[in-house]
Order: sequence, then C-alpha cells, then structure tokens
Amino acid sequence: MFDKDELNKFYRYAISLTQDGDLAYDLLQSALERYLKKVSKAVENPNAYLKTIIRNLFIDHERRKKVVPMISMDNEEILNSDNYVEPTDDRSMDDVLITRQEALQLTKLLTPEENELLYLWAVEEYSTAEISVISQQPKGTILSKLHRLKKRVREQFAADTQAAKKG
Amino acid sequence: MIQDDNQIKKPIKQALKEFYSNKSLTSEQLDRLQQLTSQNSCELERKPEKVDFHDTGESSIFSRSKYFWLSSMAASVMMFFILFDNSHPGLITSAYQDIAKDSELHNGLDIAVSNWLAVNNISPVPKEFDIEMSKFCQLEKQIATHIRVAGKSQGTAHFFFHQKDADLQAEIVQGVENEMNWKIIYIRENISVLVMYTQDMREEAVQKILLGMLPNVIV
Repeated sequence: MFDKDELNKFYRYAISLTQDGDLAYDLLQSALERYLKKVSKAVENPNAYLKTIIRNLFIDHERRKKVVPMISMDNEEILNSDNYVEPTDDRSMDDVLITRQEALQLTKLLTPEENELLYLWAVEEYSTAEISVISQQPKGTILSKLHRLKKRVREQFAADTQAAKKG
Repeated sequence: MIQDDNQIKKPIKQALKEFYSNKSLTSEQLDRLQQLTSQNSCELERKPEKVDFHDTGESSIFSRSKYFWLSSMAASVMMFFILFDNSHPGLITSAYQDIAKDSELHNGLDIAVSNWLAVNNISPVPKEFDIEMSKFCQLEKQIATHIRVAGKSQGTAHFFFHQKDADLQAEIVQGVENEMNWKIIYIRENISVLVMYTQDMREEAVQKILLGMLPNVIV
C-alpha cells in the first residue's frame, strides 16, 4: 500500500506540524487507521489524501489542548479570496543560506502552520496548487502566506547570508 | 581543519531537506505501520477513480448519513420513538426559541461567525445558497453558532454548531418539532451541529449545504 519511503515522508510531514517525533508517529498511525477504516473506494491521490487526514488530526489534537488555532486570523477575509494573489518571488528565498543547526532553530521559531508550509514548499517541493489541496485553503491564501513566510525567513537570515558571501 | 557539516551554510531548501532526512521512522515503527497497512490493503483497490478530493475519508459520516437518510427511514422513525419517547430534548426547544426570536434579523454572514467557522475548520456555506442571518447564541447555557440559510427556491434551514458533544449519544438523530425537521450530527470531539429546517426545504439542499461545510468530518 505505502512503501517505506512514503511512510517516512508522511512521518516527516507530521514532524513538520508537531516538531515531536513521538507525536508525529502517533498522528501517522491514527491517520493510517482512519484511512484504512474509512476509505471504501479507491482514491486518486492517496498521498495528498493521507496528508490531509494527518493535518486534520493535528488540528483536532491542538484544539483539545486549547492551543492557538492553526488558521491565522490576520486579514483572513481578504486572504480567503481566491482572486487575491500577492506577487511572489520564488527565488527570493533560495538565496538564503543556513546551516543545519539554523534549520533546527528555524523550525522552533515558526508556528506549526508555517513549518508545514515551509516543509511542503522546500522539502516536498510542492506547488502552491498542491499545497492548497492538502491544506484545503484557497491558492491565493497559500501564495500570500508563503510570501509572508519567505519575507520573515529572509529577515531572519539574510544578514547572515550577506556576511557569509562577503566573508 | 575539517568543518562540521552541521555548520556549513547551504541554500535553505537543501538545508531543510537534510534536516528532515534525518527524521525517519525506526525499523520497529516501520514494521508496525507496514503490518497495519498490509492487513487492510487487500480490502482496498488502488485503481484510480475520480473522487471529489474534499471527500477525504473523514467525511464518511456523511456517506453513512446518506444511507441513513435515504435507506433507513424506518430505522430512524423507530430510533426517534425509542430515544425521545414523546419528550423533546431541551436543545431542540431552545433552538426553536432562538429561531423565533431572530426571525426578523437579516445580517448576512457576520465576520465573527465567519472567523469562528474558519478557526473550527468548517468550510463556508456553498455560494449558491444565501446566508440570511448568522450570530452566536446560547442553547441550554452553551454558546452556539447559529446560521440561517435560505433554500434556492423555498424553505429555510438553520445550523446550530454546538461546542459540546450534544447530549445524545447516537451519531445522527432526527425528529420533527413545531413542523420543523431537525437532525443532530456529531462532527468531531466537542462539536456537533443541530440542523433545523422547514418542511418545504428540500432534503437534498440541506445535505448539499452540510457536505459543503463539512467535507472533512472526523468521527
């Protein structure tokens, strides 16, 4: 059904949300159980489908803990419009250089939703359309969030990157 | 001197890929998961089939609800009599009073209600239906979110999202109160929806609204 590589990818996706290996494993196991129990018909895109289940389980888990919700509230009304697209520069963050240690710091700095977005964009190299399907948010919202995330990461690490280039 | 690989600056995508590549399931975890999937894989076909992506499996309550609605009317009637034995749950009465109280209110979709739906992972009402009124209210001293939706040509439906598991254990219960049909549907932990609709509202329209708003129900 799912091979080892796929299971590890799901696990990493769950880690991008939880930043916790044990919780990520629990989420993945629960998601697989739900997938197997509930899916009575073949699915066109099982990978995206399972990721959506993992995401929803994580949202439920956070809600039970009464943690701040995943969906950010700022400009939500505008962002939710499918027609709203901010200009994005996909290469703008590719220039940012970080160490593996800084990657760890970055994941701790970001919210679960930002980590998820960064993971899907950077590691899985998903398009905004694909991310939109998994997160069930309009493409315009994803583009805007990605744009803001890139800006934030650039601000965090751009100075270091420039210094490294000069050095 | 050899530089520690952890300290070498790399493009962010590469650094993140390396960071996450270190996160892998242990062989024991992998075995358990593969065992889990292999036990069930024979029951599932992998043959691609066009499926509405929003039907993510968690929405199977609605698949079941279709069966309930369309093919188990007799069972529903029996359940109604068994469960309620001529007495209506306080929740229904309370909701009916709220409907009557706000019958003249026409404020459309309130921003706070819209935000509440988003935060609770509930999709907007399908665009083809008009939201006549939305507000927060109290049902049996519990805050609920009340949305009144007009049918395309006739009828009105009310959706009360209730932040507790409802005081009923069955996943879907239904009945009639003051000539309004009602159903209570368990959505997920700590949230249920009470749907009340006039008898001239088409059942298919109610179901379409519910499926549009709750494509990812987790039971």
